Amino acid sequence: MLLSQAFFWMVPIVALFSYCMLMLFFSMSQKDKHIKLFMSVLGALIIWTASSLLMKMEVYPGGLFWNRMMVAGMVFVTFSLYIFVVNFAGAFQLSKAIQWSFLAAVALTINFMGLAITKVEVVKNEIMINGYQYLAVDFHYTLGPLALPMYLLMFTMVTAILVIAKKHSDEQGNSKEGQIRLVAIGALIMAIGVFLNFIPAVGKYPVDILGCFINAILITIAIFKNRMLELRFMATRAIIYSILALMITTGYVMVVINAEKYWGAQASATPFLTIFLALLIAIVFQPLYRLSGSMVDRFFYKTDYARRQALRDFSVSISNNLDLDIIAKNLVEAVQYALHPKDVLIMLKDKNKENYSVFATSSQLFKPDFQIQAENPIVKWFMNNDAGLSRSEMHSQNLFKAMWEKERKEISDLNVDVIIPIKSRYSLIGMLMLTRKKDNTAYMLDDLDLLTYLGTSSAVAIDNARLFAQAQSEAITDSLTQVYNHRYFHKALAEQVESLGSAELSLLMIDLDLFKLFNDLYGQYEGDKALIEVAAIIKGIVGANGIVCRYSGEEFAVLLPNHDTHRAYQVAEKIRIEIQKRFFNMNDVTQRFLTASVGVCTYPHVASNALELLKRADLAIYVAKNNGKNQTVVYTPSVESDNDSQHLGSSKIVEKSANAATIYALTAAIDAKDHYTFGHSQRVADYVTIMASGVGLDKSHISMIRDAALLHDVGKIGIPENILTKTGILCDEERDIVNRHVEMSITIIKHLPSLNYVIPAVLAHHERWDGKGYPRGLAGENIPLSGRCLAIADAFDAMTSNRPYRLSLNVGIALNEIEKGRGKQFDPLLANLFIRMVRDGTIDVERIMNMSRYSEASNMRAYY
Amino acid sequence: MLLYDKLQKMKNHEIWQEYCGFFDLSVEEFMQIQDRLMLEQIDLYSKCELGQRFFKGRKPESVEEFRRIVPLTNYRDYADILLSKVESALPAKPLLWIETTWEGGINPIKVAPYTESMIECLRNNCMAVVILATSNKRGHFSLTGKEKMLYGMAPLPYLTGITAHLIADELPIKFLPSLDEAEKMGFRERNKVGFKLGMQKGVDLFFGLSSVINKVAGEFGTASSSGGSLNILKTTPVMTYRLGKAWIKSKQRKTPIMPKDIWKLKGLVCSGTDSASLKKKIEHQWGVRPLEIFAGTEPTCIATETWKKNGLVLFPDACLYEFIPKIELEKNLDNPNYTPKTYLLDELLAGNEYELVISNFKGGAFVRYRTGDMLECLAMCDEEEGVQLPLFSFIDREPRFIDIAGFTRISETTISEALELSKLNVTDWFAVKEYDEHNRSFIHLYVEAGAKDVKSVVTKEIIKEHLSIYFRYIDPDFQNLKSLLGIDPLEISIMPTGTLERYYKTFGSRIRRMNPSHFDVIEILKFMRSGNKEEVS
Repeated sequence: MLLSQAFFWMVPIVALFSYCMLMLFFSMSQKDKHIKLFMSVLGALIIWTASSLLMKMEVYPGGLFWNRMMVAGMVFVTFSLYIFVVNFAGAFQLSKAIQWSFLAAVALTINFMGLAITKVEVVKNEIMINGYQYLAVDFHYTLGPLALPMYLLMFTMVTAILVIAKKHSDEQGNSKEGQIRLVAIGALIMAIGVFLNFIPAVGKYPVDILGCFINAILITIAIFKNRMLELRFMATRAIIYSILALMITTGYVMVVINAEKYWGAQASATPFLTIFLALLIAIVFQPLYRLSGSMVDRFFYKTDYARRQALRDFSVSISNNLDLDIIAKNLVEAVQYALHPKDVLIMLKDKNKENYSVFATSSQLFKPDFQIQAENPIVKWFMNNDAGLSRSEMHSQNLFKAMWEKERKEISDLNVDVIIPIKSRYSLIGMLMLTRKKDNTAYMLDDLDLLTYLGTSSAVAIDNARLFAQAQSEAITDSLTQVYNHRYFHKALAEQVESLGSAELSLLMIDLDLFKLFNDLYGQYEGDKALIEVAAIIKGIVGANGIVCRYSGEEFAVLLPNHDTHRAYQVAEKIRIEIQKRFFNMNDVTQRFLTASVGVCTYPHVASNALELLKRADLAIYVAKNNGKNQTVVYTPSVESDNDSQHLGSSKIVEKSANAATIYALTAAIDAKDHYTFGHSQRVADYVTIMASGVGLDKSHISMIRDAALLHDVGKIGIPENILTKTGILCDEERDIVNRHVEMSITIIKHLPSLNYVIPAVLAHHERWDGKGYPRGLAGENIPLSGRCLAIADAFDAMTSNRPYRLSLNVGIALNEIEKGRGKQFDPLLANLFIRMVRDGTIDVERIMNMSRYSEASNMRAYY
Repeated sequence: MLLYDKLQKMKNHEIWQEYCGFFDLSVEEFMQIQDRLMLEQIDLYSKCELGQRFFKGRKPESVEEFRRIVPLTNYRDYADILLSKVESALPAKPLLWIETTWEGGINPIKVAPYTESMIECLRNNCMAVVILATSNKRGHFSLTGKEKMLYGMAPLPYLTGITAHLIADELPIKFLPSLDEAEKMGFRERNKVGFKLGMQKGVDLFFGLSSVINKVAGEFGTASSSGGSLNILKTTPVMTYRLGKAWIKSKQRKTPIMPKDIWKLKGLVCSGTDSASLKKKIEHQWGVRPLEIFAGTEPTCIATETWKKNGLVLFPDACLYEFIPKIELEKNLDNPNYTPKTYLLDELLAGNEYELVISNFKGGAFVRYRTGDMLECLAMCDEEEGVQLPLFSFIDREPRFIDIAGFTRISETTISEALELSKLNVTDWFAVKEYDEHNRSFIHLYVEAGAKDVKSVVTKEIIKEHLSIYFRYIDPDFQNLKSLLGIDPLEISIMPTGTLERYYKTFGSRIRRMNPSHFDVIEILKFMRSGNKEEVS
């Protein structure tokens, strides 16, 4: 076939086929305004090309009809291309569009009225070339009276398209990456093709069709390569694969046919041929098909490919992962790979459930100190919306009018373009923030869909990871104080000893002094609060330098890696002093009081392994307790030997004797001030000691109550003598002063840490069972047992003693009074016990009174 | 992105949503925005000297607490800081200081600081106004951004001056005359040149005080029919055609040419005290229903009418709004020590009148500031149009001020100063705002003269002349009323000596000097009639 003949037929056929295929692709794609307009251009091109082809084929009703259809197609193409270009360039104006529609309608009318082309003749010549005979087909047109104006009109329209395309191509600069430039070039080529058509020597060939075809190809390239229209194919992949399969099958069939032609004559070759072809398919065509498929994916669906890849990788990575850091990292990577934003930030809800903070970013150098408050409109927006939030929505939606300027500025400074919610079980657990894309293009709906999907899938993983981390943390955290628990302490101790090797590791054992009494006095709730505060003090001082654990009830352990004994001692003292400051220097006597004894031991100097370290720190704390509490003792071998010699019993004796001396001094002071009080305290101590035995308390508890009884009125030292010895009835003011003796007692005792165990009883000895007592108005069993015992003994002795303002009551009457006070002033059970013990002689009132008199006579008696 | 770019690239409903979307808010949502923005303002305010002054050292934790702690304020509470422009005492750095007249005399002007955020908010709200001016249906508007707009506003440093600049920033609107030229001209010249250019080039938009719009239309027939200054060669063919058509229409109608005969305006924006009484007339003259807005130097532009142009709706993000019911205001007028109760937007009752109290958002200076503007709550919503927010009508200034045509605000101090300067023997007086037969407002001053100055027409004229001179001296805007709008703003009535004393003896209380109640004035008139009839002018 002659080249010119091939050109004559092949150009329109190939062009028509391509247009139809493109039309098919687009019709099955998601369409926006631009795609719809481009489809109208394609439709017009199809009319033009098909009419041209049908004219050449001399199909019924003949050349003139198809010529007019072809001209109509040309008019349609110029008009629809004009509309496409002005729309795409953003220069659409309705008035101009109406003008052009009118002119196009005029052109069509001229055409169909036969005023442009009046006659078309087909001239066929047979020519011989290289011995082959070919049929050459030429067309001769007879122009009508309005042919020239119509062509001028079309010329004007095409020129207008070129001008607009050129103008906007220059204006857009880099922002659209020359997208429209391709369209401009296409339009120019089409125009050249159309005008070449008017030159007879060239016009006999379908140069106009070729121009149009190249134009369509350029637009299509612009679409695919530059993602000009952001096509989102739904079903076209199937079509592309089908065409690919068809092409490969055609190739395969051609190979088979030619092979059969060549070898077909040789029957013996048939089996070999079959095997060869089968192998050919297996070895060449199958991989070729796959390779082609992959290339199609990468070229035509570049973005989709990246998205699918990102999604697949992300799904795989998070499916079995419970590490929050890894999940966040994978999420950032997936977003970066799929959408190429400049920066990605993952914001997660803080543990306190209030604010959202930056958890991970796309760059190690970029971690802004940025928070989104729970009241921020962004958070409120996501309460009701699951889809992404764009910057433009932040400007346009009413809710964001409530945004603070600071919040607006923060988002603006970060250049955040899109925010995606990370929601799990309807709760917003985090947010994904993306800045603008690297190519400066905007995020499209499909991008937001993908991000929403990533947000949703990561939400579950993040939630799971958080729950897992929480469970892990809870397993090793003390729920009350939020420091590590006993279990973790042992693990950490072993790990530290192993990992530090020969480096130093100090262990502090911190035990709160008399914490049980604190609990008795102020209740479990206050006790818990104190523990939380103490834990906070220790954590605050230790910081990141060590590991803080709650070892047991009121005992904390602190591991200090790389701390020698001296540094560890300093830390211990800081902790001890801070606890004392916080709990012991309160002005109000009813405030809490707590001190701590600390034992320090350092590995490897004085302990060769973890167990030894623990045991020796424990020993040090024991010594601290025995030495009067509220002190830090560093373990040295001498501590151990001293301790061995003292042993447990002897240390108690030492402590007791120290306390006895103090009590002696205090009671002597009372005696000097008010002799009655001195005797009264002794008697109350005797009564209450017997009574406490009757209650079944252990020896140490009985001893504590006795000490409390001896000191319960020590505060009277501070009451003026004239009031103490007044014979008449006390006035209100004087009564107030007398009542303050309880507080004064505590004021005195609290400065003696070794005696502070008596405080609960002393503080409570004027409380009443019905809650009407003082100073704290406690009621029922909220009053410490020791206090309740003391109250009965105190009242009994007061009634049975001579006072300046009245004579003593006899024992029977006093017991009746106590009986009357049961359930009101006194604990009914204890009151009954006391009455029974007096009546059955267990409490020998007379003896105790005599002893007291004897003691008074001898001025003082020894207690121990 | 500028509004003009949005008009090119975005769909109309998206633009509507951005600027006019607040009409979709429910009252609850509106209050949530108010609440949150007020918390931001409290935070900013607590850190500055002004805040310490009003918060008394205690930062309110909520809007309720803020309203409990902070007293109602007026300009005097800020004058020392604002008039000296002490920026360090303010909650945020101002970008501009906007000015307006205050009381005249020793306090001629007051200034208000505008921060960058306030200006941004004002920009958005101004764009909403421009869009709404060209709208008559929800979501629909005809603004293209290339309209021609008559510049009928006062230039910077007045509030209207900044709005013109904001519009010019956002849209390539052609101002007639151009902003540069207009700012160099006086009020009269600016209007004259504007209309001349409008005649030549056409007008699409107009924004001005209702009184000015009305006055312009009144004089329009004369100006256009004389044709003295109109060069037919300089007009466009379309305008030549329109002028011809307008002339024929006016001849057929046997009335002077009206603006609507010449121009087909897309939008007309009006504001000012007399808007309520003049709007219908303006619509008749201009052929387009005016969009009323409500703005002030201290609060900024805070309300606009909807596309139906049937009531003002407040912008949610400009200020916190509180309202003093009229009954509370009356109590306060009678007893200045009484602190009137305020109510929030969601606590109002339709049909009641309220004095507006504002607290600026976004770093503005004013908190619980009594604007002195009286609004009537027309309805709690417009169900027909789907607007869930209350609709208001601007009634007037509160009774302590007499506002004439939006030009000037006469207070008791102004009148007292004028009387004092005039050295006239006026022993007592009270003033009432009244309207003439053309619905134009004026001050009716009732005076009691000393014994030697009474009982002659000459005396009344002298009093009027004297006072007019001193009013003009104290308040320059007073002069403009006559020269620009043709309004004679002062009417004098002389009361027989002892009338106010008789009133006091009869009713046991003194009559309020500024805008006493209508019934009190009736009682005075009765006293006057029952006295020497010849003494009453």
